[in-house]
Amino acid sequence: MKKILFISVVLSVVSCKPLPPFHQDRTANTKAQFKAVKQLQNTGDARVMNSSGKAMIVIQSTMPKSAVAVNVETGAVLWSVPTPDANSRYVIAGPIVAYNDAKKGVVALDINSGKVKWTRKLTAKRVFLGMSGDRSGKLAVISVYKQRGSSLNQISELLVLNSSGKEVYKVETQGRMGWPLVSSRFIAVPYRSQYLVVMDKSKPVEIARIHVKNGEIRFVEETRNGVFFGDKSGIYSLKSILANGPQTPRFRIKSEIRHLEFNFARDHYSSIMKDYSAYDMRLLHGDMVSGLKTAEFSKDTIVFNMFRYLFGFDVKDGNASVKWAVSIDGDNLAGLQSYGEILFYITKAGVLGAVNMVNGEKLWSRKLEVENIRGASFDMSGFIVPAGSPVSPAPLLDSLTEIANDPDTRFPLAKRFAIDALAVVGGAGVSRLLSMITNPKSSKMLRDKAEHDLIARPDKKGIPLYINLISTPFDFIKGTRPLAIGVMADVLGKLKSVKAVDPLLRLMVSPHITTAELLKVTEALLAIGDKRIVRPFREFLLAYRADPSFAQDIHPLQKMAEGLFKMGGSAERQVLLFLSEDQRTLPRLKVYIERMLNKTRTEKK
Amino acid sequence: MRFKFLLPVILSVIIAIPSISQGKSKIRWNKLVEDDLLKFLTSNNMEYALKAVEELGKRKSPSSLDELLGQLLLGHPPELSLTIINAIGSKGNVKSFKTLSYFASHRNHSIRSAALTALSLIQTGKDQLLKTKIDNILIRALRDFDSNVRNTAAFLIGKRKIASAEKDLLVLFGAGSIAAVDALGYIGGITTARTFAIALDNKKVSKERIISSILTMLKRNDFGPEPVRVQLVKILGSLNLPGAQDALIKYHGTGPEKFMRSRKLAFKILSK
Repeated sequence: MKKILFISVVLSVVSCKPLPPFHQDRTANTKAQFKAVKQLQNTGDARVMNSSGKAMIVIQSTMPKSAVAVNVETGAVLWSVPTPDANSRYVIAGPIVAYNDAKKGVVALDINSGKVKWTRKLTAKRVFLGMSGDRSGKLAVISVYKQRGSSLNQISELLVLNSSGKEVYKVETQGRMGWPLVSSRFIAVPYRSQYLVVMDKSKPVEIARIHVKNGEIRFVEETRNGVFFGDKSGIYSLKSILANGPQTPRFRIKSEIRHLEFNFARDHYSSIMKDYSAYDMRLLHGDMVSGLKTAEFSKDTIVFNMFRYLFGFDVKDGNASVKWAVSIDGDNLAGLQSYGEILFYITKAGVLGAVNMVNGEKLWSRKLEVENIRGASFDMSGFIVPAGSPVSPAPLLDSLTEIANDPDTRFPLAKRFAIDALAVVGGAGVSRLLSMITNPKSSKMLRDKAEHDLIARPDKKGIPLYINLISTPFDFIKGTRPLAIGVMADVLGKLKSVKAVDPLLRLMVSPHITTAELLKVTEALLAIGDKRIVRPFREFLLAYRADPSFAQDIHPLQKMAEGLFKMGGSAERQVLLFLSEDQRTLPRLKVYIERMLNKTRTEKK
Repeated sequence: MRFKFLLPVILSVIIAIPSISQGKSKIRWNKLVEDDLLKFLTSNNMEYALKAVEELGKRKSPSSLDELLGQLLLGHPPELSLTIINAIGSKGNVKSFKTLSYFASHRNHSIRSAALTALSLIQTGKDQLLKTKIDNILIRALRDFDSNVRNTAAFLIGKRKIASAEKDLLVLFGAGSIAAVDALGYIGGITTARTFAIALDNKKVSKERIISSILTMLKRNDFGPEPVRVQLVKILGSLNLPGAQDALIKYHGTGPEKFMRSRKLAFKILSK
């Protein structure tokens, strides 16, 4: 009996041992966990990550692929080291710059000289996913193994190394980990998209697990204002969650502008984003802060980067409205990073610059002695932009129009976004829409969008402008002609503008408008419904009823017949009867009128 | 001969067949009344319709004009409309002004040109207002986007000597219009003379046409003053072209009496 009792006690003790980190049965969001993390939180560190204490940037140049460290204050190249097999970003962590080498594993370079300090191969069959470091040089590396190639059976490994490359600990688990954040006092790991697992830095102990109900956790970052996490469409502040609990709402924005991509940060589960890529140029930037209830952006400002274009937004109560737009001239961007209100960028040609995120001013730029830049890791916290002559952005509508009309054909998405922004910002800016339609330099996309917007939201105040456009005479000597006839006819017809009847009638009888334009003009006149059109319609119909040039496109004549039928009197009925009976009338017109007349007869019966 | 009675029958048939077939198209159009002409005009047979129109055009009666105007407004295929317009034009009646003005804006450029020509044939008499209206239509037609219409307008402007069209014609001349060159000969003044003189230096321009136009200008009584004529004569004299020599001969021989100095100069140049 005592033996049985003893064995039972031993078994129960054994079975009560804590679950390993990342175990699926571990609970989340407990008060004890939150309390533990609160104690580990610091107030945010505004220092640079590298141990030299100076602002620097580590650039990946191509041809050949190399890591180049540059002192930002002087612009001098500190060192340049070939990294031909690098397949990750460069991570600046205290005394080292680390990256993943496809052949060697994790490689650490000395921050001051660039010499290789150590290398560490990953566990066999593991594929590198991502890595972060802290100011002491501690690295947290995530690698994955997809059993049978499926991400459903993925095994993830968290490997923590110190600055000398020695393993601190290693944890393996079923399920997807994203690359982590190494804060000063804990490691935060996105896990299974729904959790943020907080790990001890020295031993494999799970301190806390935060589970969010809304959205996912696909990134975690630390700024001088604290730790923030979330997915592309919403952000959580760790501070707010710890203070208010897991029901704390996340910060989200919405905008009337279509195609505004909500990517608050890189996706830490993405194998593409572990390395420098074009995705780096499609992110939202801003100074995240912890508000009373939720995460926010300082000065209610975010900047949307789309390739070499930057769009500044005001965000109030979650509604984003664009306030400025600039393009970085002449070159593609290779990397961007924001610190406070300043957004630093570097171009592929090696120009390092800064933009004020609040007002879009280009504050400063410097050409570095590096070119062919593929990507860059910035470590510029606290860097004070040299005083200079800031360049203010052009008025918003002008800059959006310029972006939409950029002859560079590589960025159709950015142009589309600019056009969508114009549609919202333009508002009652009819003259702007009209200038987009009539400017020969406007791209087809911009013109089509402007036409669509003008027709979808016709503005009564613009009637004099519309009429003015179509009143320009056809003049070979002066080289003038009415512009955007079809669009103007549509708009004036929609607005039922009686003032437009005379200019539209003049257009109708002009020999130089196309059949398509003639149809639009006829439809507009019908929509307006002024009786003054009856006689001109009658005369036109008679003059062209036997003209073979309308045989293929009979619609304008059919519409005129319809107009006479609806609005005309007995004289017009006589004319229609004549047209339906005379042998010289174009067959399709004849049939159409016959049907119209027959329909009336059957209705009367 | 058993069947000798058949021989005359066969011979008469052989002779009669051609005359029977000819007889079908042998309509005596000038004998038909207007109602019958109208029936042919509105018939299925386009050949007859055209003939009917031509005949109506020849008739002097007011009703023939009314019929033609009415038919034009009722609408016909372009070929027939063209013939109707020409027939109306040949009458030169002021009643046709309104209808022809409408067709001067027709979508078919041939009809526009025909309408312009018909308008220019209207005998306005002392009606200056009507004359001005027609002139303005012709000047406006210089801005037509179709070159055929512009050329027709230019030709008619030259024929009617509409001086106010000089500026527009010079623009068309600059755009390479030969019809404008010809027309400018009839209406051009000092500005035209200067433009022609400069153009003669331009190797890309056909000189023969300009020379012909200069001659037209020189032969006009209203072109001057004399010093301008003298300059033009000197320019012609400096050109080593048969057309220029020919122009000088003609100018010397048949130029206006009141411009003897320039005519004598032409002779002097030719004598060298």
